[in-house]
Amino acid sequence: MSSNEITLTVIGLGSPLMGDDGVGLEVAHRLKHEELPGSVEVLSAGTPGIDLIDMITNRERVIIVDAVKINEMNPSYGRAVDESSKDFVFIEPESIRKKEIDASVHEMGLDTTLILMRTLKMDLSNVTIIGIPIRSAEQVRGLSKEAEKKANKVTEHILTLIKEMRK
Amino acid sequence: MSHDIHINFPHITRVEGHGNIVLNVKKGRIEDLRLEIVESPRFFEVMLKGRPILEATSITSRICGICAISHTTASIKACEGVLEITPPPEVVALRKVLMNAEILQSHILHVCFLVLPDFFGVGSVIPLAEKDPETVKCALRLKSAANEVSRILVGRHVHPVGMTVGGFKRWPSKKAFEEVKKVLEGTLKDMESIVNVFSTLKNPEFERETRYVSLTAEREYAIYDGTLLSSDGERHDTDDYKELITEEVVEYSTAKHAKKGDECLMVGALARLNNNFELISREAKESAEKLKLTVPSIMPYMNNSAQLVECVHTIHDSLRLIDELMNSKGKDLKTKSHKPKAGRGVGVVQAPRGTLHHEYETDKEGLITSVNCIIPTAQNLANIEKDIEAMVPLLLDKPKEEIGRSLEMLVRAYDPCISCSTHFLKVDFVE
Repeated sequence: MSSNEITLTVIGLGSPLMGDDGVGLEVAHRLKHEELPGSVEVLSAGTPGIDLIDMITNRERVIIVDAVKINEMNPSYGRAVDESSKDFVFIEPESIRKKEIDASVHEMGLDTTLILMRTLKMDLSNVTIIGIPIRSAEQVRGLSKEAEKKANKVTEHILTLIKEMRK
Repeated sequence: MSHDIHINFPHITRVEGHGNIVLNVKKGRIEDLRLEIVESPRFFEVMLKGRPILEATSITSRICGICAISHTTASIKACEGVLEITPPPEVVALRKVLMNAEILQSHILHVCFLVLPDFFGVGSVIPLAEKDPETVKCALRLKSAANEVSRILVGRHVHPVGMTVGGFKRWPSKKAFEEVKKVLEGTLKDMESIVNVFSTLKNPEFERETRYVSLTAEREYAIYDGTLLSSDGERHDTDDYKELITEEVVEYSTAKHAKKGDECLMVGALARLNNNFELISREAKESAEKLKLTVPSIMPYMNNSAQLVECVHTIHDSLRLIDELMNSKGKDLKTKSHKPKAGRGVGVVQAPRGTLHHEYETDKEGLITSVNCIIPTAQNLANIEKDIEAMVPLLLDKPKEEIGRSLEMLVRAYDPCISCSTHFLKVDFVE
């Protein structure tokens, strides 16, 4: 299937060397082990910095999965539009605000990248962010049990979305 | 303002880690000046010892996410030196295209997203995007195009999977080369726009003579191959790089300083142009004229302009190389098995930020017994300190904000990974 036939792109973000920060990446890895339709692509993006823009633009629909520190979730890191689940939240890209822009473009974070795109009036209407609340990101390999559980829930949720897309 | 100054740039990130600039001036005299690199040592050289030589490339690629192609290429060349493999000309040409792509994406990132905010008086690329969105979009397109070239040819630009000892895991199809050509042709207009933007800007005037070290070759602008040349005329085969560059441990820094004895040196785009200007493309020479870059230049800030000139050169050089590759027979140059042996190999290439050295030695089982990697930033650190030392007396009567800004811009002009975060450094003055 060529890239222009892809209807959903799932992007997993985070560092596997920083404990629960890698939970978004873990979701991407789990999805890659599932039988997905050819119209779905899954990118284990890690920490792409400014290159994330290339992964978002010219895509029909994008779901970004990233860890969000609990104390940064609301209101500084965007607005959670659905708080029915404690395992993850949907965040509107347009709502992301940041007090201090640490635009170190070699490792620009998701929030700064989206703010840059918005400043440049680039289309973000195709982007959904799933934020997975984590307590901390420390230099350890592997996820905590709590983050593992949340990764399972998000993976299941995205698989359900994909099934609905096929109907 | 008095002539007592204490400047502390705490926690400068991304010089492959963290760094600080500490400067103390009393009664107009510099009492203490240190460019401290305080990153945790990463132990790549130790990590490789005892491992099979063919594992070296995929491991050392991880030294840098921006210069992964340069590290991969230097490593492959060192491995080929050990194994006595001479790659075919088509392989060399394709490696040059990839190195050009990496130089383009790295330089654009630096000059447009890190340097340009200084000229607009803003702190980062976000307010820059508010003030001049078209230039930022132009730069994003150029960076994206450079990444796309690597993706088409070797799978991805960070830690490329297609490059290997002796050749490529999969030789690109003619269609892939045509696609790359189209991508590169699409960059020409954007590149011209960026050069035009910078041609209206004036770099700060500061001069200091130093040794400019780069590869040099007889018939081409040396990026992949050549001999090592210092601007004072000293020249060595790459195998003898230690005649020109020696490393020393610096007490206050976890990064070594690479120098020539007691003399510091500069590597990178300005050094390359100073040593090899005649061999850049006609279009790149025209850009140099627009940017008022004349060589030899002893103005470190002109490294920014030199990078732009190189961007123009890499695009035209790659278009030429792609034409050659499309007209070649397109051999199947897949990986072959290589018999392990004892040996020594040195791989030297021009990474975006300067000369990059990898040296490996192996035993008869093909296991690595000795490794030495010298990265460009390590070669520039001592020179940056000397520049700061020479520049500070010229700045003492300036407002403290201007001193801080000038020093930040100076460090940034070298494009060490430090420059990533110097825009939001806190500068403390003690008067």
